[in-house]
Amino acid sequence: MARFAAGVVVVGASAAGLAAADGLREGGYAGPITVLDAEPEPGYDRPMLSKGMLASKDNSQPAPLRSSERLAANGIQVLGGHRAMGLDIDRRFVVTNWGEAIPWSQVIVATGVAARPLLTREGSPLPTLRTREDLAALRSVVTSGDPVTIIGAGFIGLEVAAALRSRDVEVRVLGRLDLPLLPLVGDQVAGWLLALHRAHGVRFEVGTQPRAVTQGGSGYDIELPDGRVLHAPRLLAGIGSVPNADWLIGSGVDLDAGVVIDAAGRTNVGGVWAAGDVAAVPDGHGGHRRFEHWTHAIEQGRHVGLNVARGQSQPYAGIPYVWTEQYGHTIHLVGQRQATDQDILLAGDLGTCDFVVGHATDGVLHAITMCDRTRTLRTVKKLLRCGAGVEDAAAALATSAQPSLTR
Amino acid sequence: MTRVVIDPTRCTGYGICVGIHPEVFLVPEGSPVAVVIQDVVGDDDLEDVQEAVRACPSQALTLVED
Repeated sequence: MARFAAGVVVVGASAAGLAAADGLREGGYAGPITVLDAEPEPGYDRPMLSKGMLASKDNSQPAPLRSSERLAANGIQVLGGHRAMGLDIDRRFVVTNWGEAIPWSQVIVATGVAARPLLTREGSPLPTLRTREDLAALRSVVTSGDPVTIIGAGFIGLEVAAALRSRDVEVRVLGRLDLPLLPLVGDQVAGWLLALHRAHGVRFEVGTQPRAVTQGGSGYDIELPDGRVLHAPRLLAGIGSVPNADWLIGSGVDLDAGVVIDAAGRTNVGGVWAAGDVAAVPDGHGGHRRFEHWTHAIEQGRHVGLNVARGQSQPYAGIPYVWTEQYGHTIHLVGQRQATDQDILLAGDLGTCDFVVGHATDGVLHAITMCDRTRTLRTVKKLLRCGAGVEDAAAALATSAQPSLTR
Repeated sequence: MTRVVIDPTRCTGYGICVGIHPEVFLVPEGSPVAVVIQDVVGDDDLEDVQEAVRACPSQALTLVED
């Protein structure tokens, strides 16, 4: 291929892919970097889609993550509209939808995830929220004034519910779990979250998921396991994600809930790495799991870029972090709550939506859920990083005062 | 001297920067954007500020060398 010298190819130009490209330069790699992406204009502020963008009345678009000037200054070539269709690990190239074979000396897979589809009986996928196009469709729904039923009470479902309520849209949420986000935050916080949504007028049904959905003239009919049929003029499905890894089937790269990597970001194939939402690590129970959150994609993506540039395989040890914005509150989840954890109020009060809850087993903290108190986040991360116990954490949080004018 | 600058046309007040380094960044009550409360970035702060620059979904932060 005369057009491309074999350098590092990054597949996917969103948070992880672009962070990996920057990490390559930061780590001293001076050769060619080619970033492929299926979208014509890839790499934008995705978290905003379910937050401010949906709540705002204007037609603002999420900001691109990189300007062409910055990419050019770093010698990073982004090829939009180039979908990776296959990976050849023997001859070392990526095959694109244009039939090109793009050679690589190292390749970083950062193709992310797609919204898990929920199909009607007729086989049509329900609307989801993952891309700018999805946002445009959902904005039209808001303008229509129709009530909206959201299937799924995960981060997307909850954020969309809150954003739609701020636009005075009638909202009903169907959640599979007994309480929203229960395994992540525990009973107390999950119960608080449910009450928060109901207090803002969301009709919230828990412990249920559709048996089937049919689409008719005036909307959808949702069949529930208890025999009820709910009618919904508008539906949105927020039921999780599927890794964009099908293009690697048969390539020789191990896939299990995503592209399997070790702590350094390496797959089972030498020279093939993965980063961000698409990557899956051992879950401690013989399987694999992904970390589908923004700051992880960036930090772990950067880490893989550094490893590739330096010819190293340092393990990535970032503390898991996800934030969610609902009804003017920012809820921070740091670390990973375990099934055995007890939930302990470390500071503040659930009644005032200003609290820090620790999740610990035998006094050892595994995770912290915090509402607002953003200025305390750095302390919280340090507590988890150094393996603090519950008493130490409560003491540390008591001494970090919160001036009332900040958040 | 290294300084950190917020582009107010990009900043949307996420506050991710505040979470990463609360002594350098602040979202004042009622403000739609973040502000820098300590613009000179010393060696101790550099790593965290660089992380904030990377993390901002609006990519509103830049480090400037004077």
